[in-house]
Amino acid sequence: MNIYHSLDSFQKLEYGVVTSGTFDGVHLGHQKILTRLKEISGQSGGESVVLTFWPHPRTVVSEDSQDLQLLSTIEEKIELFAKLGIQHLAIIPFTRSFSELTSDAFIKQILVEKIGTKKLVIGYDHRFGRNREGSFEFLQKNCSEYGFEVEEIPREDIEHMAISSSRIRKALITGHIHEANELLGRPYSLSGTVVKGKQLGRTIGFPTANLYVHEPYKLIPMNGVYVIHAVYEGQVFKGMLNIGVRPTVDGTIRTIEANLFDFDKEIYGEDLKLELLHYLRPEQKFEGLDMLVKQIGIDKENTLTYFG
Amino acid sequence: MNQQENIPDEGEVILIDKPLTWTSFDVANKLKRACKFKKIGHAGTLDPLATGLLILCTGKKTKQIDSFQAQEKEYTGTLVLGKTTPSIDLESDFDAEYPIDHITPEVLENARRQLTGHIEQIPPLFSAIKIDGVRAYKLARRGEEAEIKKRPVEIKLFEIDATHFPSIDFRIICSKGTYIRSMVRDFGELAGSGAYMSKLCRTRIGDFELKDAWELTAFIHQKRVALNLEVDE
Repeated sequence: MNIYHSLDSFQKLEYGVVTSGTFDGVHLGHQKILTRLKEISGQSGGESVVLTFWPHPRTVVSEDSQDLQLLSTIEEKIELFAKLGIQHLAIIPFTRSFSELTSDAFIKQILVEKIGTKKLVIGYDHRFGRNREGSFEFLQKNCSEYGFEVEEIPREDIEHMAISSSRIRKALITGHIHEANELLGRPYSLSGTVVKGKQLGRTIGFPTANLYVHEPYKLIPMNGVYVIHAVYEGQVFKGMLNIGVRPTVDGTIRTIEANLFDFDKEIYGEDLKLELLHYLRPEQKFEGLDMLVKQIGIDKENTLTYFG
Repeated sequence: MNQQENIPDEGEVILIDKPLTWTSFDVANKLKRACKFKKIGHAGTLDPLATGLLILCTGKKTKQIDSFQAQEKEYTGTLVLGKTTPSIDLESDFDAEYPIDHITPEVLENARRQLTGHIEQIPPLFSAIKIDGVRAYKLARRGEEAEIKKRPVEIKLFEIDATHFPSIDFRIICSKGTYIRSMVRDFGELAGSGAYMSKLCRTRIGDFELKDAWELTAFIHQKRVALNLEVDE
């Protein structure tokens, strides 16, 4: 996959089969569009192109959404697009001036002149250009003038409910990890750097790896205990995860702590990816260490039962 | 004496969600002009890069400003470890970088604890504190060394979220006169690094909560409608 961090380095294509969007989460709905994009480019002998925007348009256009939490970091998106076999990925810096391009200017200057779009594939509710004024109907009416064809992917439902990034975000912050994973088509994951955890874990027989997720916008799911797969240097380990606070009388500190089974390496400072599979229980305050150790033992049993 | 002056101006207490980049004085001036308030003042200044609850008093209610200022306050925000700026927020450019690799959750917890309870803090160099009758920020801008005295404050609650390190989200409940920028600066130093504040929002003053505050333009609109003044649609 060719990756472009601005359109300046993009070499105009002979026959571009193009889609554009933010694709936060690269969920099943997005995957449907991307699969169709590949089919069309295969059939027409063209090249598949994804245009995506960074940072997320909502963080640039509206000040209110400076708290917007996202499902995918830019690195995660790149990996997912590559896995899906996209040939060209252009990451357009989403600036205020870019957001003020009219849909006509976006189509002429970018889709036609810069990319060489011959076919445009878009989702059922996709809108673009200033104030999101461009729509499928607008394109349908005007595409012959621009010299390309348009294909719209119909709304795809799972259990009669629309798949959307915001629905997945909501599922994650309310502890509905199964629903989120089903809509994503894969487990939701957190990637970051391992730091030394509380030494307490070691003394009670459950050493933990603390994870720092460096991107401030990456959504951290609801506090609680989860069943996980940890991916370290390409190898998968079973384990459990606590996202939560350590309550004290005058405040708390929220951390991400993983306990990996059959794993005894020191991996401080190294990268680790955690895939969240199942929500075991909400967090709880315990009367003393004994009760805590007992509960962690039960959590481990439940985790092993989950894996079967 | 005209008729208007015969009506006693009881005044009102107005809760506004201060827009980003506005000074607290900008908000008071805008309201004064747009809503024809004769007398208006605000309780507890918010820096331009902070948002959140600003209490404004008009007419006779301006007498209550001091009592609002004395209330406990609650803030949420974000600090980032590893860099500093002279103003501690993003109003000035980065001036130094610090290591962060040694900072474990234990280090963060230790810094958090040391900044909780009855503590003494030095107000930021860029602040409205007076030193020998001169505002500290004026001295700071002139590049003069200013020695600001420590002040006692109480931090009743200090919660941190370390999951997005080196960004740390926080929630603070504190006594009057607490500088959140000083908390951020001291947190960075106690963690053996440096820190700046990337975001701040005041969510409560005493019993007044941000969720009950007006958006500035919405307040002006309804006020002008009530006063039969011209409004932009």
